[in-house]
Amino acid sequence: MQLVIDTKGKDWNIKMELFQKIVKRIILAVFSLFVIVTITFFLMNLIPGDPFMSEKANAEAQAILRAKYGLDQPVIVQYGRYLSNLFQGDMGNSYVLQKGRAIREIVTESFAVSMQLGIRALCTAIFVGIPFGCIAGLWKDKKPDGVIRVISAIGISVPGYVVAAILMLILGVQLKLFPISYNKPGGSIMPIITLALYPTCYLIRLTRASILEVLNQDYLRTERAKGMSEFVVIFIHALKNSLIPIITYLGPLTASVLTGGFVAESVFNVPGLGRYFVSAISSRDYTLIMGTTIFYAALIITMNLVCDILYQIVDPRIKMD
Amino acid sequence: MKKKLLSAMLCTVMVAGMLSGCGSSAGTETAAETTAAEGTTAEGTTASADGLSFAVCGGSEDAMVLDTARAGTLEGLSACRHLYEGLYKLDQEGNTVLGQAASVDISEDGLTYTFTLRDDITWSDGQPVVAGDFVYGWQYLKESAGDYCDLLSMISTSEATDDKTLVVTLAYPCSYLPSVLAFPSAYPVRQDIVEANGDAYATDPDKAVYNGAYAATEWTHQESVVMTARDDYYDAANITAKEITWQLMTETSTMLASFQSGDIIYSDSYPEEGVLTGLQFASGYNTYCALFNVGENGPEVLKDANVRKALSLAIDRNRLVSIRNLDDEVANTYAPGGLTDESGKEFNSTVTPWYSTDEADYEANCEEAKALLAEAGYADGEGFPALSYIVNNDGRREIAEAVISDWKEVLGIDTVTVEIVDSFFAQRQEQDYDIAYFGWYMDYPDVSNMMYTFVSGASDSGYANEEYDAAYNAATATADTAEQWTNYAKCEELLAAEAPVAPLFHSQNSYLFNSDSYDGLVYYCGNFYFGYVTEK
Repeated sequence: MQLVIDTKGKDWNIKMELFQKIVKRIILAVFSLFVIVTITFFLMNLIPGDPFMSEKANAEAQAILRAKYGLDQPVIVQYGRYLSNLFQGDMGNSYVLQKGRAIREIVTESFAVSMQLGIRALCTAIFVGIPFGCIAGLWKDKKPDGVIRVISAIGISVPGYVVAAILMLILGVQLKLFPISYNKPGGSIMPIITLALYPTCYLIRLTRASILEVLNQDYLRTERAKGMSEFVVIFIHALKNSLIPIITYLGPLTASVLTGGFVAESVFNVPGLGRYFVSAISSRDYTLIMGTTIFYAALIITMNLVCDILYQIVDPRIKMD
Repeated sequence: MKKKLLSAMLCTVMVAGMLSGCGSSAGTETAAETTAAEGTTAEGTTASADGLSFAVCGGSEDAMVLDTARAGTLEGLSACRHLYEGLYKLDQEGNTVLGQAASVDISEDGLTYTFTLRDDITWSDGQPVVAGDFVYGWQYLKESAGDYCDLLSMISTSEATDDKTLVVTLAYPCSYLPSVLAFPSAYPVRQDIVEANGDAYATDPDKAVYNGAYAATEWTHQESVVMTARDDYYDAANITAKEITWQLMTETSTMLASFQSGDIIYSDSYPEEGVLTGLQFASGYNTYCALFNVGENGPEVLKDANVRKALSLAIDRNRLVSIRNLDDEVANTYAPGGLTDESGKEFNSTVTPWYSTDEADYEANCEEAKALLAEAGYADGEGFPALSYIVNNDGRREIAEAVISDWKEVLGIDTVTVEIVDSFFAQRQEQDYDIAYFGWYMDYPDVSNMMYTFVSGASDSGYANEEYDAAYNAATATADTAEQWTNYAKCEELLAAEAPVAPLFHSQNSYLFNSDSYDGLVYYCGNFYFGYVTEK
């Protein structure tokens, strides 16, 4: 009987093993998410103040509002109620930033916008970053390498808000090439540049370093010695193996770019998710803080899982655990 | 095998990414081009056959609360003034005139107002506006517990005797009632719409009905609100702006850039640096202060009135004004200027100034401050305990730092530190501070709105004085302006003597408006109305 199973093929066993690992990871992911929800909930309640503070509000009215939303209860009771609502798929309504609107609606709506922008920024980063990184790596210490290195060093060190401000001032106000607000024609170009600049430059450096390391490997020397064409050596063998660190970076990058950038979105009025990560906290919009945190955590966990699965395919020696 | 699989997967991912990316971009641009095709001029306005349309800055999404009972920011309240209308409204000159009411009958004692509503007023769904909508609106205002939930505290009863008649009785004669009833919080509300939508009431254009000159027709959250003039509004003939787009923005630099590039014609906020073209000033009706915590949780040292007065006197207010460079007026009373009676006399002319703000007298003020501080036992700042001065943004920190440098140089106090705190309003309200920024922007130009802020229990300073409360109550109980002012002057006198607050200056309201190309902006106490805007 055992022989029969074996004849079904080793491939099947490996797939089963992979499947089990994935299931295990998913269970682990749900647990991590629960831990994140718990920590965020209690930390959030430690910050002084509440969603109803404002310059002109009076204490009595604030007490009414706190009672209405149950914020006058002990934190542990609020936590219990939040969890039970969450399991029923109810993330509550926003208290401040979009008063009265359902969190689920806000997050899905604004994520759609951030994602549209993010995918374009991501494509820009990948299609510009990786090729230029290759060029820099293959022509190490030559002219193109020098130019690319200087530009990418600048791109990495200039903070996003400076990039956004410079773009806005030069392209928007002085030259009037692009409109400042996202909802005008061509309005997505400046936010895409702002979002894509850092990951592009980072990818250039990463690809370059990775290629250089692979080029020094013995097996490439062996291939060359055996007379394989330079094209096959570099494009088939070297590039493939230099992809691993890039994939590691692409996972979290995708998650962070897709959820939008605080700077790009608030400067160019993009109605995306990115600006909520900061503004929800500063305005103590509790339900929105939880909503964005859960969403972002789930996305990061998923992207990391996808990366791990990709590793398995690129290099089965890497253990998933 | 695996290599092929990998490359195939990567290709799929990339192609999918490209397609979805380009697809969405194409979609956005096509939609945008359609709008552009309608004829955008260099000024960012569309002059079509239907009339004038333009874009303005509407502040951030959280400011854009279009539920009259919950609106609390100047942007939200101003937006509400376009969508809804009360018994009174603002006319082209910014005067308070009858709005939804055709006439009003005031009883001799000034305690009963009988309003007759116009016959031609409707909600945007076609239903007539009835007196009951006001009664419900005022009850809804209280229940909603918004920033202005106690605005109508002078009204003791309101009754709709029939659909067109509203009888309002007051607890005290309130000469400024029209200003209050022209305020968005006092507007009518439709009970059936509120009940149908619950918490989500007025969070989308289809979740509210409007009785004002405009109806909200589009709301892309975090991006823009579009208001379109209603044809069935009774005064539609005089509304010149047919479509207003409120661009929602959070960054002041974006507001300025959008204004300069011509995308918007108005912005309430802008970065506070340099002199800008297009900047307009209007009487501010506000007072910018340093508030001392004199309550239970406050520091011992500030419980001594001499210390507070010394701190207040040592401040070089003229220098603060020159640092800001925004045409502010130095403050020597708590109430701002511009509060006039029927004859045009200023309230401040009836008040004894707390101190001289003449630059030549500053030396003398400093000497007096030193003497007061010595009397309190802290000669030359010796032994003065550490205090923190909390503020909530960089501009206010700059002023606070200038203030403490005066204290250091004049009084030798170097133990006060300035701090920007995140939970500023909560901390101030819970009286968990030593010294804090405090600024009061009046909602309507009546002295009561200013003096109310130091009634026992109302002030974040923890100030409580029976004499003050008595004077305030006596002022509100009479319909006679002269008598009111005598009592309000008494309030000022008490504040001057006890100094729970140090008034620094009265700032001007300032805003960006493209007055080269446009005319007819109505600006009133920080609220703005675009309905009468015309192209020059």
